[in-house]
Amino acid sequence: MSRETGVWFVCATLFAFAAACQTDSGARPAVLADPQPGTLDEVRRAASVLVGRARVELGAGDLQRQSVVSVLPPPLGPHETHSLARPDQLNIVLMGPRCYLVHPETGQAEGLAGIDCRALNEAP
Amino acid sequence: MKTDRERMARPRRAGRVRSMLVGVFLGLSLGGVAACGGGGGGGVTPSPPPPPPPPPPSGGGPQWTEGVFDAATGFANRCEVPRSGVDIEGNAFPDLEGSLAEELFWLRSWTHETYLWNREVVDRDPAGFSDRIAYFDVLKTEAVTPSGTDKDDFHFSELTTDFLERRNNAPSAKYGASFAILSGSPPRDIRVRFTEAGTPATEAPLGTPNLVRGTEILEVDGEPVVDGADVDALNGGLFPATAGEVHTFLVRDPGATETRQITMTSASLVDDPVNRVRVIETGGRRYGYILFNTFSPNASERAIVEAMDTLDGAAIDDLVLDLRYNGGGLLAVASQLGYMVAGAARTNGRTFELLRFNDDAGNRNPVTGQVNDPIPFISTGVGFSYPNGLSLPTLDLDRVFILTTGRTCSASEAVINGLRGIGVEVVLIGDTTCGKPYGFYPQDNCGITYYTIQFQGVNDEGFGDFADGFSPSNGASPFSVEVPGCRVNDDFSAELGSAGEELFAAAAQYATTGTCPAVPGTKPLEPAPSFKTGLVRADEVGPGREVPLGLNGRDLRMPGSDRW
Repeated sequence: MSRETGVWFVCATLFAFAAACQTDSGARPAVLADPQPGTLDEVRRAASVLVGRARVELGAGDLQRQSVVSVLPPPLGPHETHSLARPDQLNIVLMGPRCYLVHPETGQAEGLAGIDCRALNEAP
Repeated sequence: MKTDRERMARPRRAGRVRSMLVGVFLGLSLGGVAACGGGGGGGVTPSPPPPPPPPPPSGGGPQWTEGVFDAATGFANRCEVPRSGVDIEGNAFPDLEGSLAEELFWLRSWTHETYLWNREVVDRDPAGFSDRIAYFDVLKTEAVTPSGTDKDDFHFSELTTDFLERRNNAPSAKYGASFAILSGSPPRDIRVRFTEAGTPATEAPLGTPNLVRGTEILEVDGEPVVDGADVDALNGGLFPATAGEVHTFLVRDPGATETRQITMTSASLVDDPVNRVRVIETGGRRYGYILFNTFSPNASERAIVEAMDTLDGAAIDDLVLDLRYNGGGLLAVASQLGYMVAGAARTNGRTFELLRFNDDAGNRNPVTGQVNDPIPFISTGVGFSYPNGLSLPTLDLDRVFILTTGRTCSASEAVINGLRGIGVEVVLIGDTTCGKPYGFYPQDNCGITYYTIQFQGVNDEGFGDFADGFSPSNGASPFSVEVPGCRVNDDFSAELGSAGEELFAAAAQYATTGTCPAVPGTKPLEPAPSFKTGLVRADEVGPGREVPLGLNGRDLRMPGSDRW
């Protein structure tokens, strides 16, 4: 199966889950299940895609317990004394066996490659 | 023929389309989770509309018609000299082939769309200008405040390379001491405002800390401060370029007649947002004291939460919040501070700050396109450095003492204004604040980062007219906003956070007797920072940063060097 086809398959599956909302929505808030060296690098990579910046830093939060990832804004310049900057809050979601990072404002999603997640409401 | 940039962009766009499709479905699905009671992520909001396509190329370029403005997006990033590659943050430059005229028309339209006082800008034909900075400089109001100062004296620009370099330069080489340049020209006078714990400044090789508040710097590497001709030597020692530099200083401590020679090695340091937290008992009352020097770094969130946590449960009678050197920064952290001072009951449903944009913006933020919702008193972490959603401690106070000087600016003033807006009694001790109820989004276009005032912050009562600052009521200037409190000079004579320090002592006197010390007959030792519009130069420094001495004694303090 080509990557393109795979993506459409994921989309179709998601649509099916969304349509079946009353019983099981499919996409579930999730947390990192078993972080390995490099896990946060992959989270940063995905976050970088979603916020449209080449390099990002993650804010405070335990991603083994929280399904929201804070992505820090760029540091303030010395003249920015009344700044509205806030971290972007991205959601970790589980769709089937795959883990995604989702930007709640744009709906854009990015797969977290090679990362194990578990549903937020499941015991570790 | 397509350019390299266009060729590279195609696969990225294709990838993005796929990603967006997944996202749309995931967004729908997550919405389903919420609708089904499963909890989880935030709501899905519509993406902002894509920018309109650029205007079709015309042989003669854009034409000026007075009062008619094309969308700024049509001119954005169309540069006379396009950059290529990536910036120091790794982001690709968005520049396209363009012209000076398009850069000027972008400035004109962007100003019209986002400048707070856009209707006060004279619409000048860009054709009369051959320099983009010169044109930008006139794209502002020419009105003045009641005190006669420029209504907009926060209008400037700088090279984007400088902007990016400076916002990425922490940590930097320093000693852990903040130097006040009381006089930058002969006879020069340089004192220590404060020191930071665990730094070269507070090392005590002979039992005495190298520097304390008020220490006078007399010589730097043998060069006399008061009238030395080698300004580079003075600056080189006071403001080291790299970590590991060793410099010697002749110093005199406050109240002392003898001098000391010290040697310090510069270190790579990050400024502590909260310099110190104390519980001070004097006159039968317990005061919580926080020296909070900047809202700028992400670490400021955790630092001020931890400071409040320290005081929560310490059975304090009053809080003395020392913002005398705090030039502002993150408004969200300012809001959190307001919440932690006042508590949930006083802030629930109230506005910390509402942004007012220009009259053409309606209920939208003209920069982001988002609905202009009021900024509440934020009751949880937002994720800068304190976990998102985690509850904040509160002191639940109906009165707070805030120590101020002319360096107290912007987000610090928003705390004063925000608390006053919900009826918390703010007592100001010190001097008139800088007077900046305004803000902006720095905007790059073709290698220049432009700063133009885009919003004014107002409190829950709709008040935000403090362009001439807040002043203690017994020493208010005719044009500043009078706030109960006492005018006291910041005299560097005693350590900050001690009962004997002048501003703190005045707060304690006011708290116990409702009276102030005699109004000082002299001006503050350290003059209020000045500001001028124009192009920021590469040697400029910002709030909390040190100000180099100027050649031939010229004071090189720059736009925003202190008050921004």
